[in-house]
Amino acid sequence: MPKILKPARMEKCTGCGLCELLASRLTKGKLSYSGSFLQIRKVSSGKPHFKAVIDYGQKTDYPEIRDICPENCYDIE
Amino acid sequence: MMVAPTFLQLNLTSRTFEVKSYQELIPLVGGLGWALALYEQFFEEDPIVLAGGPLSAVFPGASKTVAVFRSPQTGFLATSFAGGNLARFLRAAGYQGLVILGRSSSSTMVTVDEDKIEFAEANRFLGLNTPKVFEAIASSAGVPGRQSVLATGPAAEQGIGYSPLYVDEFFSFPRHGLGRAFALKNLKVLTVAGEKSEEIKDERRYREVFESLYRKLQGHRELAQLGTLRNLAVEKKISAVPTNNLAESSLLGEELLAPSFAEETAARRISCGGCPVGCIHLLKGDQRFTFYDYESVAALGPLLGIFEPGKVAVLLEKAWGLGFDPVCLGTVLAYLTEAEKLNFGNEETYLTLTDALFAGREPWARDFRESVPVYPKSLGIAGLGFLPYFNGYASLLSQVLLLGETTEENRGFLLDLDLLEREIDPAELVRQLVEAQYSKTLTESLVGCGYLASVFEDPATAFAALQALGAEFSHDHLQETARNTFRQKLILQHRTGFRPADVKIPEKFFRIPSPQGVLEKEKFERMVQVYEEEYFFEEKLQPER
Repeated sequence: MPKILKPARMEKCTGCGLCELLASRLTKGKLSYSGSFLQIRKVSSGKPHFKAVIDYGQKTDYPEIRDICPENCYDIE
Repeated sequence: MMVAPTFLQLNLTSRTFEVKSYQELIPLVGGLGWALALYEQFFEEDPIVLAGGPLSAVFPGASKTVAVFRSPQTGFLATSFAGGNLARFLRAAGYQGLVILGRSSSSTMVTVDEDKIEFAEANRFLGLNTPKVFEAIASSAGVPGRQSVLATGPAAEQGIGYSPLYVDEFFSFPRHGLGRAFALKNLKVLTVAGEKSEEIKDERRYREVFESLYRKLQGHRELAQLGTLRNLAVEKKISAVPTNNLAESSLLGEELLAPSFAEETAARRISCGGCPVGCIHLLKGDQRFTFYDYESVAALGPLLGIFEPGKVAVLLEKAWGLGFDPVCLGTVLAYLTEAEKLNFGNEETYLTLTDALFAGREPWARDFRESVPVYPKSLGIAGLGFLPYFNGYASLLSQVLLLGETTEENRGFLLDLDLLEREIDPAELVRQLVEAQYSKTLTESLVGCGYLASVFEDPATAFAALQALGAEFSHDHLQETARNTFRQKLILQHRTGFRPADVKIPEKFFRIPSPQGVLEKEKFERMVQVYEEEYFFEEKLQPER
């Protein structure tokens, strides 16, 4: 089974987006918060809750992305 | 070589836009330097300039956007800083900032999606309370979290001068009434989206600086866990918490201190875009989440004689819902309590007074609409609210000189802590305060977060980060530019009519003991005089040849 980046504790996410920034750098070699396999979105207006939208059609098991999260939201499994 | 900063110029009168790149702005580094230069260029057109910086959104902690405009509250040049995701989306849309000119004939919403700019009617958002405005935008435009949203609250529409501009729901440009400045242009909502990417000039260097900054920011765990409300413990310890309209400066009890406040209000944290610290704290009220920090809690808490988190939370929700700046609102309510001989500590009274202020039906309420009064019992300074730190000369002087109207910008209260139990020489204090402005101005040009000043005020950090992005500025250039940018700010303050010696200083400052003892009026006035003569004198503000 290939390993994947799993957003296991998104209730702790503060929405900083550093995971998106790093994902773009690692996969595209560019500075961007979009255009990679990972996007952070607000769950809904009025609430400080976020979700990770991940395209699992490509490699996602980057330990650097797991480790950059200041709130430890990700696992690789 | 750094790329010329590109600004989107919006003309609300003609509902047109123009994209301009400014080669001449490159040497000014970014942020405040760029914004002041463009403010001056368009001075006669009463512009609002919003700018990010060269590090914005691509290095951790460089998350702020600076606004430069004429304050509806004071009439003078204003600078204000907001977090959220505006800096990130401006960059992703392909702009370093916006220049907003003209005035729309009716309430307008502008949507910016890279090079697609649309002007639309915004009447459907009028009259809604602030969170409802954001809800309505989320359900009608863009993807939540994939754009930055700026909106005014209803107080701005009602003519309240001290109404901030809100950003991404839980952030704002505080003080000086940028929300009201938007309303005066009939600009209700502005959204910015984009998905542009940038090449990395020097991958290895970028990674090194990124990781170094990230490690440094991880040292700010206390700021993350407690937010700026952590300052209340220090202020309590030195008896510098203004209470009951500064009838005293000691805080009794510990209920409002950050840990108990967070526990009582079920707080949670969020981050600005690209910042791993996450120091923005939100309380969970009956109906919604509302942000809080030191200055809003101190102004709507102890300054009004309220010491229970739940009651402060109700007032914070009220202020946000109607669109009042909490520090200015707290200053007005504290004044009214004393002047009208009401009882401090009654939040029901304050809710009623806030509604009356908002409605503006009675003559007294109309007197308080444009700015915070400077009457004898009021703590208002130059039309602004009192930043609730009663630490001593430097923190108050920063406010009087319009150098530090927010916790983020005021370098005086830390200087005051250094000066405790020391003989204070007016000229030396002014010199130290101005020196602190130079390093602060570097941060404000990079638009690094002011709460992370120890990181971004280090010229070596700035130099390395800029170099990684291909911007080759020398240390000397950065230092010199910071000094020139600060002077440019003073020139524009002067041009908009600000004169430090004209600011009426609240008499209470000289009656109540501060941690530096009872402040001497003559000494304080001497500081203002030294500042005017040494730094603000018209001839000294001429550009250097």
